Amino acid sequence: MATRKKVLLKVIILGDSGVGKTSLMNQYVNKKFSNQYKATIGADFLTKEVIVDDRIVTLQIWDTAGQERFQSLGVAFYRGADCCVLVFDVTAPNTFKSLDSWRDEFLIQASPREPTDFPFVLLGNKVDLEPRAISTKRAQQWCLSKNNIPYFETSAKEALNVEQAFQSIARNALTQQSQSVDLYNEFPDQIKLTNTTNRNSNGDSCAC
Amino acid sequence: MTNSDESVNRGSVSTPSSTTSGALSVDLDDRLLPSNLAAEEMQLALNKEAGETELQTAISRCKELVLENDQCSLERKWLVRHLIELRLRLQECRDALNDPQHPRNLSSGASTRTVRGHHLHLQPLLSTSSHYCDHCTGTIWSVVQAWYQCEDCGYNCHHKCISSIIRECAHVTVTEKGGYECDICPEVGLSGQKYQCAECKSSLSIAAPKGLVCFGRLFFIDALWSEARKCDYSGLYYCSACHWGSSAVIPARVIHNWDFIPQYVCQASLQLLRLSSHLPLINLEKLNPSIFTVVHELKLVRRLRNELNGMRKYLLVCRDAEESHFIWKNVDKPHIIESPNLYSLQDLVDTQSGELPTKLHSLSHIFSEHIKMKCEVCKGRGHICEVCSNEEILFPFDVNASICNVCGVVLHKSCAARRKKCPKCLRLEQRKQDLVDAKDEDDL
Repeated sequence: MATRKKVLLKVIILGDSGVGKTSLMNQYVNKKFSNQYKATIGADFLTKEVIVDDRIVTLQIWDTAGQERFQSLGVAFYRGADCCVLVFDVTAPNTFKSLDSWRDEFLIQASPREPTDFPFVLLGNKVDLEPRAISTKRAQQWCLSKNNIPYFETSAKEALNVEQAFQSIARNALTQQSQSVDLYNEFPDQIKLTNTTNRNSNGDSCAC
Repeated sequence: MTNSDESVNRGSVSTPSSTTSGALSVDLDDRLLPSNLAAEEMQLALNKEAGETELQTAISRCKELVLENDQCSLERKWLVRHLIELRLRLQECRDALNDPQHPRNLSSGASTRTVRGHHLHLQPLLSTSSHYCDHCTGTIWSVVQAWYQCEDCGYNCHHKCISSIIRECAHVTVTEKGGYECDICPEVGLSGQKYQCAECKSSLSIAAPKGLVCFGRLFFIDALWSEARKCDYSGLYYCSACHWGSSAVIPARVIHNWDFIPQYVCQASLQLLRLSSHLPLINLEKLNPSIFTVVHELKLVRRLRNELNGMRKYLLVCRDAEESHFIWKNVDKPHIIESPNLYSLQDLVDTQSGELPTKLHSLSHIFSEHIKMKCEVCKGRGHICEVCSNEEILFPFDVNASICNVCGVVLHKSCAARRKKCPKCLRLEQRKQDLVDAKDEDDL
């Protein structure tokens, strides 16, 4: 009983400055890449329509500023996110180390209903560059420790794995939204005649 | 005019120093051109059609003169101004060569003159408006007399008066001084001015003497004594030729006393005040901070301007606002939102009349509508108070928002008051500590 209503999925891309967040988004949405570095100010978004499981969904991809000096502008856009993409540079170990703080900060600001189940996706960008500082294994281990989040190795420059990564992001975001759809329903007391949706996720938010 | 000045000075003043100053009034007057330049400038001003080579020689001559004079001397200041003027004219000359439509080629000859910073333009004959010469105070009979007007400050004068202009262009004074006289009527007294008009140096007295007759000879000639008129802005006394009894609102009186009653000012001050009324020259926060507690309209204006300044930061980085020139469409005076501490004299007048607060209110409404309602990106750049986790989006410029000085996080004022320390700062410290600990473990 898929709704025919247009679905908007909000995706947030986070990571240290210079890891390639804007480049990944540009490669995915506009199929363009530029070698020139230009710091993102605050945050901005691009939209793209994609088909996931025979449904047309609109991805609203929020690209953020990695630099601290632009963070005085707020992060209200974290609220209502359906998926969070963490990006690091496989040639720069520091960008990998700060993943934890990006994740924590996101969870605090976005305050999703179930922080442990919230869909994250990890992207190791710039795999076209040498030398590697973070091995695939190390990244996968980190993912495993964080409730098994999907990991992709990408190159925005060579358009490597970008499409696949975002396809997975869209799918994860869609599952998140369909799970929460009944929570945010306009009529909370409605009686469902079919038992397709599982209401047990509601148990955690019980006031007692 | 100069001749009569000299004769008066010789006749009336007894000290030897002022006698020389009378005789060499042109050379010693600190506001006058250096004599060696005066001739050259006049030559150039009169010879508008000077070609490129002539200008080149004039420029190199001027450069030499600049080097000959002392640093920071008045001569040098004038010479540098002159040099700039010459270069501009050279550029104009070159432009005119390439472009047949250039105004220089279309107008008939010497229509612009540069004297004492004024850019005097020849005015058309037969204009119906009546003007008075700012130099000799005589009527300009525009039908028969050639006359000029400065395009910067509006100074009018006859063709015949050009060579003896004394007053510096108000535009030059404003740009170089960069601020108002902030003391109320700083008088030095007539004796401090040596009983001379502060501008043209003609002799002044408190009341015109009737003339002293001794053995049938008249020693003091009435016509040469001018009544002393005080300018409330500069606090100096002027003769009736330099002070026409016009009145204007005085910045110092507004700043210190919130007093908008127009006072008598001399022509030079009038032109200066007129020219600078829209320039943001008054830093009220610095000059008289206590005025905000007394004048409620000002307090309101300050709050609104700070709010607008906060919103401006959002609009500047907003893609949509930039594309649609949102700020420029709505703001006619950029300083209002760019530098919230600076006021122009006109701003203060408008504040008193209530016009400015109304304008700022509607502007603030337009801005906040864009940021909080219409624009998805601006809305996303708001803050959510992490103490109460209310869904309401909070902006740093909101009245109920409090901003952490250290990390810049924005919380509700009431929420911030409940917490001893900013939660984000605590988190950042914790993370730093964790990193150090992890490093220590690695080292072990």
